[in-house]
Amino acid sequence: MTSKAAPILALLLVAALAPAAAAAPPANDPPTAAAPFEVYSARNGVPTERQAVAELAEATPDAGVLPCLGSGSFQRTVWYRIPSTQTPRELTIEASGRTLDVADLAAFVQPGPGQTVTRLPNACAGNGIGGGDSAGDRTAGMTLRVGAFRDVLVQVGRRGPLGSPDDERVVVTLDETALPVSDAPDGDRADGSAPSIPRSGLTTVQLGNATLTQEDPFVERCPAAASVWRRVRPPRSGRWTFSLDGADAGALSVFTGGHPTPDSALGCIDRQGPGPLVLPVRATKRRLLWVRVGTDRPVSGATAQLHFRRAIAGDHADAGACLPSISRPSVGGSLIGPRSARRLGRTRTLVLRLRVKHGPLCAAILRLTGPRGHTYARGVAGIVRGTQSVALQRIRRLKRGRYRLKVDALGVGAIRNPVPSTLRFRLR
Amino acid sequence: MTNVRLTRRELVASIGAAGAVAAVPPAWAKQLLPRKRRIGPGAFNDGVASGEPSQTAVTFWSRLETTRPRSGARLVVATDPGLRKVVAHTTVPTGRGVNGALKARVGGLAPHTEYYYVWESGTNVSPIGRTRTAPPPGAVQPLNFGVSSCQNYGIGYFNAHADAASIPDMDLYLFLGDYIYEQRARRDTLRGDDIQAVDLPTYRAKYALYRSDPGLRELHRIHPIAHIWDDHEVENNYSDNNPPASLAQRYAGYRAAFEWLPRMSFPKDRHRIYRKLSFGALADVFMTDQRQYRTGSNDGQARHILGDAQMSWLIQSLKASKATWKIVANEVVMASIDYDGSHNGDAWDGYPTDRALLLGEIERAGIDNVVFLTGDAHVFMCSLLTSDFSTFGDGTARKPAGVEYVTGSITSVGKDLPESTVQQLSPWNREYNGRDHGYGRLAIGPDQLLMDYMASDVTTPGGPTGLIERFTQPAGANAVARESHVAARRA
Repeated sequence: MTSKAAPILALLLVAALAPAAAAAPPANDPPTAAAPFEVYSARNGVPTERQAVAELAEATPDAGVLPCLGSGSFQRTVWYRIPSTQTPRELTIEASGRTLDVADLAAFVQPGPGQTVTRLPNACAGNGIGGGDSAGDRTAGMTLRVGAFRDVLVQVGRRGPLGSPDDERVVVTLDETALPVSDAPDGDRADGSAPSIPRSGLTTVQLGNATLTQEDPFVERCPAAASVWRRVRPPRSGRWTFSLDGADAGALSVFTGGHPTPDSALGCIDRQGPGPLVLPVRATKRRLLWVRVGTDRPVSGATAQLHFRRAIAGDHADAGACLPSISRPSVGGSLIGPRSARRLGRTRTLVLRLRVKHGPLCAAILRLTGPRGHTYARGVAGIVRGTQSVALQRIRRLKRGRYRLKVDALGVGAIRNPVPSTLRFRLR
Repeated sequence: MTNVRLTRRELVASIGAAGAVAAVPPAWAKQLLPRKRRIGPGAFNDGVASGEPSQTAVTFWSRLETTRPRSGARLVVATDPGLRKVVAHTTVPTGRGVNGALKARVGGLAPHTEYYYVWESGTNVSPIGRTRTAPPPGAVQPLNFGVSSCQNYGIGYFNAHADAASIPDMDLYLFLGDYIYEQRARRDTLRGDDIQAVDLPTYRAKYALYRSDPGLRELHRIHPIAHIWDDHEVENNYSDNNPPASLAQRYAGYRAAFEWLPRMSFPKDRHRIYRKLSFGALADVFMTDQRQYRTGSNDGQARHILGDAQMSWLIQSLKASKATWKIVANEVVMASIDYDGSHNGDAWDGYPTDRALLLGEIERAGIDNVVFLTGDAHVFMCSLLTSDFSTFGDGTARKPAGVEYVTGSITSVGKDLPESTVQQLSPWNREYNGRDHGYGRLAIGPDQLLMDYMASDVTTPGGPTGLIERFTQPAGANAVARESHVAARRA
């Protein structure tokens, strides 16, 4: 830009902004004036959803409210209030407009009816989450479970260059389902009432009837409709590993500090498959850690097993899934231990070090064949990645001679295929 | 997080820029791929589908049933049913906001080639689907299309879809509206349907119910589809504004129709469905929307069925088309039809000025071989078209503007009038059958077009389907010869 052009551009900008500044923001521009969702009618039936039409063209940002999806989000916002009821509820809020520009959504669970606390967003949806916002017909949507007698404030926003009023408009729907009245599980709130993990490091976390509360910080990479909290103080500094097993546990997050905030998150892992969630973190001796178990359908009786232990070599974050590689994998490696048939014959298991190229191997079936084509040992491995040791069960007495490992694993489309293997050895 | 691995051929889609005459929204450029792509948990309970084929791209669909707020699945496309010759793969995000819908437009495919595909989540694998790309520009490759509309789940079985799914070489299956019926079925109907669709959860539930029909599910698994909606995707005759459907209800109906079908959105017009699909030198298919932009019913505006922008797009596109056959996917009946004393004001008969404008432009420009494929009426019907039906007679005195084929209904009940009565009152009509249900099979060649009307038994699961009518339309004639098999079938 030339030096002459800059003042002209500035003048044009001022001129362009002047009418916007003079225009009246919508009545529900500040959270204190949040509007209700409204019932609408249909010719052939009664919708249970409620709707709100958010007019954002003249809306303003909210000073002092943390923009849940980063500094560029929620540039123009309006507010809605979902009044409390006497029962816990599941709330699903969805937003879409005429264009594919995704609206920003944030929910603030209130400590009680009629209150307006906007310190910490507890659930958010919009660009950057990597879910419906990134899909073909991208939109924003979120589900949260809240307890009885809790209002929820909903912030609806737009970001980026101001569009036409039609393009800025967002149709927001609220689907509200009453849940059975029941006690929230221990650790439903991230405060002093959250139980500590016992010294054994192993604990069963009750998830049934969990909710989101005003203490739950939203973590973009690990959203959940509800959560349960545990606390722990590591006895030593260093790497510690949390693992979480249970189909109803959808995400695992760890925070540090006096209370959990988005800035104090040490790490999180979002469920991708059926296996345990594993999350190693670096922690300081006696410094409080907050552990959040996220859950999406906390039906009565749902539980998860949480394990806290010193990290061991090879611990890495694991989201519980194994997706077969598109490239054909292959296996190499070697036998660990003596090459003596007699000595190996005294053990029940043979340990092999596998090197997997183009892995992982998923649901691998391993078979050790040897003299006369017999199978001498076999094993199953859920996931094999990189270099990894696996144990095979010996099923036949070992003899002198040549052995080779045969491997089958799931390929694309869960079609089981043989995997080329170069793992061979000779026993004396 | 799963790394995004892109093959050279892969260009995943949603949308790019879309011009006024754009066909399907183009595949996304590589650099616009979303940052966070990961698979997640979820089950593929609703089958798979593909659609909107172009010569190098196809839109792939499935749905992931999951409680996680965000999830995703990997799409793998191969040239063999064993999925060993993989040509493209990508991870497609999904989540709460789209009800688990998975959609990707994959480009870089070879023209007129059969592909097989599968979706994989962290916990489940979909059925293996099959699809086919369109022939390249200039190719005179003969084409096979299927055509149907109006499937009411409650009142019959979708056996016509099962029959269409058994055809090995279909290039496109066109569905012309009323893919769902929003109302719950009466108690005395064949199959239960208790869902009264009025909002987003109930529209979604309705699609899930319909997609449980094995015939429909198999049709989607085997053939690429293109869909236009009619009124029941929102509410019966909702465009009459009596009273107007709320914005939330319209959005809910439109959104569900996008979520459940393999169709991409235009970035600046999320609910736009009018677009063009090209099939080599032989056919251009113009998908139209005759509900969303209607005006003139209880709204104080001038009476239009397409809206100015779409009408202009359609006329310009027809004039610009170099394809031998110009196929218009048309929601409501174009021909003027006197149904024994009454006209259907909800069809083009209620918009005579727009009809005269469109057909007049076709006549004035001398565009031959314009074929309207029509739904809505629940009858098998064939009519010659003109811009002025008042002077058209039996359609032999002057060259028609085009031919309209109304391809029955999958199950919905039609007006069962004697054909002679209809033809006496509307002499340009060449066939009328309000009794049978089924679909149309269209065989398109350089010299002629063959339309077979296939009737199916809707009262029993797996009931048979057979030919009842065959129309031959020579290129350039805008007229048809009829060969009826109705008597033989009924005997």
